[in-house]
Amino acid sequence: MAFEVKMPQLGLTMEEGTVTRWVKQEGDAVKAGEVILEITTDKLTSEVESEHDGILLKIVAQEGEDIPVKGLLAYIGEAGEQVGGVPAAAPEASVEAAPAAVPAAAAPVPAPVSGGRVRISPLARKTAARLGVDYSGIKGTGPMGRIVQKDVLAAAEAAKAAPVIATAAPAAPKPAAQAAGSVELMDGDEVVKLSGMRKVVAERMTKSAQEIPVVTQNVKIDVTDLMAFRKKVNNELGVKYSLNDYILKATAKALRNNRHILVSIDGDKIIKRAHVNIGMAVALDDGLIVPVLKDADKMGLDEISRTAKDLAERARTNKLGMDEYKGSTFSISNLGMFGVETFDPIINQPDSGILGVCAVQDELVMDEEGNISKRQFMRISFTFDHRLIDGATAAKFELAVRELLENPMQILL
Amino acid sequence: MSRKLSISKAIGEALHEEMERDENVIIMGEDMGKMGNVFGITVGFQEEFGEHRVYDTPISESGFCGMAVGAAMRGIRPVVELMYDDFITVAADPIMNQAAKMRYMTGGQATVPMVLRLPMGAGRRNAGQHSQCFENLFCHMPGLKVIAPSSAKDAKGLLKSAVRDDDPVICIEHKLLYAKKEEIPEGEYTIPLGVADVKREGTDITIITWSREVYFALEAAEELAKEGVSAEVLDLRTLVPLDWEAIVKSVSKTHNAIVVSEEVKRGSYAAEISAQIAEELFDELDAPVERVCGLNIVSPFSPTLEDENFPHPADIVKAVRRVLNR
Repeated sequence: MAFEVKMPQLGLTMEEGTVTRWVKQEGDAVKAGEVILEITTDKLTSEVESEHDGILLKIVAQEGEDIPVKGLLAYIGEAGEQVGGVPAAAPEASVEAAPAAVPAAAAPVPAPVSGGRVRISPLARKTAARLGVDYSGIKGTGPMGRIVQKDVLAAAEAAKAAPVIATAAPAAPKPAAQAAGSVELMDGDEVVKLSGMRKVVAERMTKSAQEIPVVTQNVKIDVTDLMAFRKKVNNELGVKYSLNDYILKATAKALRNNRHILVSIDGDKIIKRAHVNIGMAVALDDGLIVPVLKDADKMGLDEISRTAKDLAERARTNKLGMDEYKGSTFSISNLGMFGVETFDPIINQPDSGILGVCAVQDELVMDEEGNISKRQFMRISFTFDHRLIDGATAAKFELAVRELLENPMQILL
Repeated sequence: MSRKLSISKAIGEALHEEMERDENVIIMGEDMGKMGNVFGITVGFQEEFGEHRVYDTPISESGFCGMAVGAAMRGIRPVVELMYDDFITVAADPIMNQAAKMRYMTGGQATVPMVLRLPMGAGRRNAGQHSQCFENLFCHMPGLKVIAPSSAKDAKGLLKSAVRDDDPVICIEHKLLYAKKEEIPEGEYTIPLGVADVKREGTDITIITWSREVYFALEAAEELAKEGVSAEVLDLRTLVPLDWEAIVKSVSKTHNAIVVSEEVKRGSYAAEISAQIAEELFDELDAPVERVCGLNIVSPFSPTLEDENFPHPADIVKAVRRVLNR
């Protein structure tokens, strides 16, 4: 009997994945634990391992295809074995056709039998998810009919013995793509499929730009003292706190005292966020990702510095966990190191604000007596959702950030 | 090399060795001096070490516990005995409000390196005011460490570590274990606080317990083995700090657990452990964790009734069968 290879669910929010590359080809022998293909999910590339020994009989999902979670990718079985020859069977259809516990790659949703809830022990539930056993039809042998681990193990054994019937079903409808073919190609142009991270970035930016009425306010901040303070702290303590660490810390502190910035719109509701979770835009070779410093207002400067460094490093090496770039309630995009003077960042939904951080530049300042001195200035560009945040409210927040950055001691107090 | 020694003698040996090792170690309590303790633990100590190191105290737990806390803050290491752990209620302020908190409220400037030995437990027909198990009370209180040895070897090794510890350590000793004779290693040794001991290995269920119930759990495990159930008996030995790693390791292996203690079930430390397992090891569990404890009643004087009021091997066997649905 052949086993189905299905699109795994790699995080709670994952809905579909793109087949990036088949490492194994039809006819190749594979072992359990061996990588057979690579998929791109949301923003990460992951490897999919075989759960069985056998021959890769048929590749159903071709490279570049987007497949929903639990969607069929391939069959693994014995040489010469016949498998359902129709591509991309939708997962629902195959489950219906084979109710006798079909192995599924991801955790099945408990289907209540005759409307009642299924009694199953936590361990049995976990085991069922691991083995891909649909436990809704299992008769439990625990107290009050509770399904316990041994029932799941028995069902898994039984499923191995039962034949897998793959039925034809239409491919799951793809999300509507942008109208293609409208761009006239010129000599030397290269056409690359919009996929993976680029696709997600494109979709999210478009959505944000289309939905949100934005306002950007630019504020000039005298960071002369902060630069000196940073240098002193780094020299005296032998640390390497970056300017960005101070900005993160100051912003977190300002947000804690300006909670009206931490809001999200949800239809006809406003969600007032409880946590100061700051998304930090990290540029990658091919796109960008926004890992999140959770509860940044509760972190000391040292912890902020360490966490930011670690997240950025792992973002660049594609080692972030799925949940490490979720859950932001505010974001920061720092382009200061590229000399950007001001810009209008795009809000990272569902946040309602994003702080653009610009370059530090020397400027001449004249005091009241007419003396000219050299000071260092940095601009921040705060872009916000005007549906929820008003101009004056936003300005108050910016002033709070400025107040902190101009008085570095206060950042730490 | 090893020899057989009763648990009370093992405790006496631990105290003797520590007193010889460190002249700051002193003993205080009712009948600890002239009489040498009601269980004979300190017989001969006063002659050997003198009245300034082995004190007979008046029947005033609050007073002499307070004295011990003060002495401990000045660098003395008092080992204090209350004749019954029930009397902790009289000495609650010096122990719970002073000893437990001193290190924290002085920012570490003062510590209270004292040991409070507490004979406890039911089964001796001592009735409601002399039969209680107060693990929950001690373990609840931040700042106290709590040990509850079951064997002669553990009692000696743990008590020696407790004397050397800079925090107040409560040592609860089951009265019905004192006379139990057991193998004990020759020579000097200590057992670190916070390390549990697997007294019997098994694969189907973990019986988490301490003190006298360890023996009942072992008897139950023997009985269960005849039915084909392999029970692991985890003797916590130290209740605070709890050896959580040992619990994780065992429960992750057996996927079932019961917690057995002599306490009143309601609000017991057994309940606390059960709750921790449910919270943190939910996905490892194949069945709810059951507490096997005393009833929610005042310990009865009548022998027939008293024997119903703490878990016996048969109760543990029944609980295991319930959890495993056998």
